[in-house]
Amino acid sequence: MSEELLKIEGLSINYKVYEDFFKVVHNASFRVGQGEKIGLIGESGCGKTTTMRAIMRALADNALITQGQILFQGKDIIKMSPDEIQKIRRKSISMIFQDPTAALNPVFKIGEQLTDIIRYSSQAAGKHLTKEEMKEQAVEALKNVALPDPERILQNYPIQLSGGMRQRVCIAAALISSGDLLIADEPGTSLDVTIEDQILRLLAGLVEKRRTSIILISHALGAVKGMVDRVYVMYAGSMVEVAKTDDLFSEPLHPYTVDLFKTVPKITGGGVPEPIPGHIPDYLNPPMGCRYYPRCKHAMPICDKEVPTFRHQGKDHEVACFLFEDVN
Amino acid sequence: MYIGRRLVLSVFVLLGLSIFIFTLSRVIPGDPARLSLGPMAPQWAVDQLRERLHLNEPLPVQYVIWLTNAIHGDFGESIVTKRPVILDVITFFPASLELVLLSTIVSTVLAIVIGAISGRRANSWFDNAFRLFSYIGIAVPTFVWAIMALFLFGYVWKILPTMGQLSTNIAPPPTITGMMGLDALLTGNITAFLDHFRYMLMPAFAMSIGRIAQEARILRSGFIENLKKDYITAEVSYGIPERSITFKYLMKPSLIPMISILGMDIAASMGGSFIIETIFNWPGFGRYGMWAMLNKDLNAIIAVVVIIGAFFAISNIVVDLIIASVDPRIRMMERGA
Amino acid sequence: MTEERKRNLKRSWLKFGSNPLSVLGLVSVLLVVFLAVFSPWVAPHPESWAKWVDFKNALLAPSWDHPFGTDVFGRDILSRVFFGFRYDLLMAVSILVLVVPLGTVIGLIAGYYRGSLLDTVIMRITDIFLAIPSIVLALAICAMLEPTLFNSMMAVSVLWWPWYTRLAYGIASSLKNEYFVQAAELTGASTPHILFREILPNCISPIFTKMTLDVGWVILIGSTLSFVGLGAQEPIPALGTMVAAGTKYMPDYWWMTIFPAIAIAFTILGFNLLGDGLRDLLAVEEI
Repeated sequence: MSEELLKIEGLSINYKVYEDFFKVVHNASFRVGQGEKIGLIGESGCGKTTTMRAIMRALADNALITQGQILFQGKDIIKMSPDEIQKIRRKSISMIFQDPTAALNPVFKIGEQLTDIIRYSSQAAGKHLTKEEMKEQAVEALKNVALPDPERILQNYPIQLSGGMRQRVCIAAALISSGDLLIADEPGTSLDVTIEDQILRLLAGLVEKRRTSIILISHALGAVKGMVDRVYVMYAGSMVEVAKTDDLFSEPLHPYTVDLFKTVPKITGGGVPEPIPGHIPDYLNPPMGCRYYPRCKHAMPICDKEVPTFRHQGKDHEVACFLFEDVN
Repeated sequence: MYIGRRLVLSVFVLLGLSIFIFTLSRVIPGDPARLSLGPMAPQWAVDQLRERLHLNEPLPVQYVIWLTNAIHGDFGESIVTKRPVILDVITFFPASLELVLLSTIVSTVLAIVIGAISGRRANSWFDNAFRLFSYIGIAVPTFVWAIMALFLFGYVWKILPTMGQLSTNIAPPPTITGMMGLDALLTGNITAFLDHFRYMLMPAFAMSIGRIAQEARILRSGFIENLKKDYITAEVSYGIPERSITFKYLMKPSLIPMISILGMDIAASMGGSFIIETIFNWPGFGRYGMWAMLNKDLNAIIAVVVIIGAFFAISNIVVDLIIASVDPRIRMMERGA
Repeated sequence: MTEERKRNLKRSWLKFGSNPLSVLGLVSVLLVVFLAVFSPWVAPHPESWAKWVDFKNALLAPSWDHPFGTDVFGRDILSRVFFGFRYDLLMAVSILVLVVPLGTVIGLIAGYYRGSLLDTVIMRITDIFLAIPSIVLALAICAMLEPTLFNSMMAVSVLWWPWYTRLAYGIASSLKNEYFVQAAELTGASTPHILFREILPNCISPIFTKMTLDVGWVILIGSTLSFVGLGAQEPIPALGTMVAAGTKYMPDYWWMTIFPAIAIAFTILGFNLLGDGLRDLLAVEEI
C-alpha cells in the first residue's frame, strides 16, 4: 500500500428539508491508497452514496458539508475551485451509478454522450482531438467493456439497449474520465444476478489492467469478498470497522458487523439467519453517542454519551467501538 | 402507422363535434330561415327558404345533407355577410393566422429563455420574479390584458394604434397570402410592413402573455425535475461543463413537456383571437366568429366550430410528431404497441 | 386527535405556510368569499347592485365616498364589485357542484372497465368536448341560447365535466390492476363498493386540488362570456359585464372598466395560488 490517494477525515453532511436537518453522514473517515481496491458495505440509507457524491462534489443542493476534509492527492476537494474540481472529474475520479437506466440521458444517442465525455476529458489532458479520433476512442471504450458491435451501439439510444449493456456503457463512460479512482456504486444491483456477476468480473479485470483504485459499494457481501483488498463497514453515517477482506470476514469485531454477518443465510447451513432487532436511527434526532447503541447487544453506558473513534486492532484492522482499546 | 391512427381518430372526433353542434343549432327555439330573412319578410318567403334549406326534413337527413356539402367546402351562406361562409373563412383566416404565428414565435422564444434561466437558477431573484409574473400572467383573463394594453399604450401613452390593421394613409399591399405583413415583405413594401407591425403589437401581446407564463413555467418545472435525475449528476461527474448541461443535456428532455402543450396553446390562441380581434377590430377569423355568434348566424357558427376543431387536431398531431422525433422512448413505445 | 395526526397537521400547515404565495392565495380567497357572502351587509352602497339610478352622482371619479368611483347610472362600483364576487362565485360553485360528481363517476366507470366498449364510447364522447378550446365551444353554445346567467352556466357545465372524467379515468385505470382492487374483487365486493370505497378515495386529493384551481378557471371563462354579452345581463353585476359596459367610456372614465377587471384578476389569481399550494401540499402529480 503506497501513498494515499484519497483520505476522508471527520466528514459530516446534513440534508436540509424545510426547517429540519437530517444529520446523515457523521464523522466519517476513509482511506484509499494508490492502486488499492476498497469495498464499502452497509445497509441502504447508511450514507454510502452521499459520501461518494461528496467526493465528486455532486451533492444535491440541500446537502451541506458541515465539517471534515476530503483530501485527494493531498489537496482538499471541498476547498477546490470549480476549475480544479472540473479537472478532477474529467481526468482523475469517476463514478458508476447504481441504476444504469437512470444514469444515461434518454434523449441522446450513446455516441453523442460518449463523444462529449471524451472531448472534455481530453481537453483536461491538454489534447485536442478531431471528430474521427473521438469516435475511434468511443469505439475503443465500448470494446474495452466487451460490448459487441460498438459502431451500432453508438448510434443507439439508451432505451434500445438491455440493462446489462447499459451498465457496460456507464462503465465505459466512467473509465474515460477516471485515471486514478473509480467509484462503483452498487453496479449491477438493478440487474439480473447472472448479469451482475458478469459486470463485477468485468470491473475486476479492468481495474487490474489499468491499475486504478476502486471503491466498490455494495450490499452484496459475497460480491465484495472476491474483489477487494480492504473493506469498510458503514452504519448510520459513519465507518464502524475497516480491515483486510479476509480478516473482516473471518474475524469481524464491531457488534454491527457481527450482527450483519449473522443475517446472511449460509449455504453451508448452520442455523437460521437472525435479523437485527430495531431500526436505523432517526437522522433528525440521532443518538448523541454511538449510533448503534440502541440496537447493540454489548451496549455500555459510555456508548450513549460519546462517539467512539477508530482503534487499531492488529494490522490494518480498525474498529470504532468502546469494547476495544487501541492496541498499537 | 401512428399518424394514420391519429388522423382517423381525429376525423371521428370532428364528426362527433359537428353532430353535436349541428343538433344544437336545430333544436334551439327560433327559425333559422326567419332569422336569415328578418322579421319583416313575408311568411311565404320564409317557407320557401325553409324548403331550400331542407329545414323540414328529419334531423339526421339534414345532418347528412350538411355533411355532404361541408366535405365539398359548402358551409352554406352567412346571415351577416350574405356570402358563402367558405368565402368568409378564406378571407378572414389568414389575418388570424398571422397573429397566431407572431404570438407563437415570440412566446416560444421568450418561454425557452426565461424558463431555462428560472429552472436552472431556481429560487434566485430572477426565478422568484418570474414565478410572480407567471401567476399573474396565467390568472388574468386575455380580455383584461387586451383592455389594459389598449388603455395604457393606446389611450394614456398613445404610442400604439388602437384598432385595425394599417394606417389609413398607407396603401395596403396586394393580397398574396392574406397575411398582410407577409404580403408587404414579399412585395418589398417596408413602410407598409413596419406600419402594419405596429398594429400587430398589442393584439399579439395580449395573445402571448398567458402563453409565455404557462410555457416558461412548464419548461422551468421540467428543468427542476430533470436536475434531480441521475443522468445529470452523472454528466456533472464526467466533467461536462455547466453550459453544455444547461443548454443541451437539460434542455432537450425538459423541452418535451413544453412542446406538448404548444399544440394546445396554439389552438387556445385561436380561441383567444375571438375576443382579442373583437377588441382591436382586427379583421380575422376570430372577429368573424364572434359576429356570427352574436348574430345567431348558425351556418357560420357551425363552420367556425368545426374548422377550429380541425385546426386543433392538426396542430396536436404535428406537435406529437415533433415530440416523437425528439424523444426516442415514444418511438419505441409506438413500435411495440 | 392522536399525537401523530396533530404532528402531521402541523407539518402540513408549516409546509403550506412556507410558501408565501400559497398563503397569499388563501388570504385572497377568504377575502373574496367573505365579501361574496356578506356583500349585502358589507357593501357601502348596497342598493347599487340592482336597477338603481342616481344621475346626480353618475360617473364620479374614485373618492373616499366611492373608492372605485361610480358608473353611468350613479351606482357605486365598489359595492357592485362585491356583489359581482357573489355572482361569479355562485356560478363557479354551482357549476362545479354539478360537474365534479358527474364527471368523476363517469370517469371512474370508464377507467375501471378500461378496454371495454363502454370505455371507448365514454372516452370518445369526452374527446369531442375537449376537441376545441373551451372558450369557443362555450361561446358557440351560449350563442345559440338566450343570453342569461343560467344558460351560460349550463354551457360551461356541459364542456367542463370531461376534465374530471379524464382525471378520474386516469386514476381508475391505473389502479384497477393494483392488488388491493383485485383483492376486493376476489372477496366478492360489489362494483359500487370497489369504485367508491376503494378507488375513489385515491382520487380525492387530485380532485380537490383541481376543484380549487377550477373555481378560478370557471370565473375566467364566465367573465369572458359576460364580457362579450353572452352571459349574465344587466342589472346583474357580473364582473365581466361591468368591464364590457365600461369600455364604451374609456379612457376618460377608466375606473368603470379597470376596477372590475382587477377584481376578476385578483379572484382568479387567489384561487390559482391556493390551488397550487394545495397541489404542492398534497403532492398531487396527476394535474
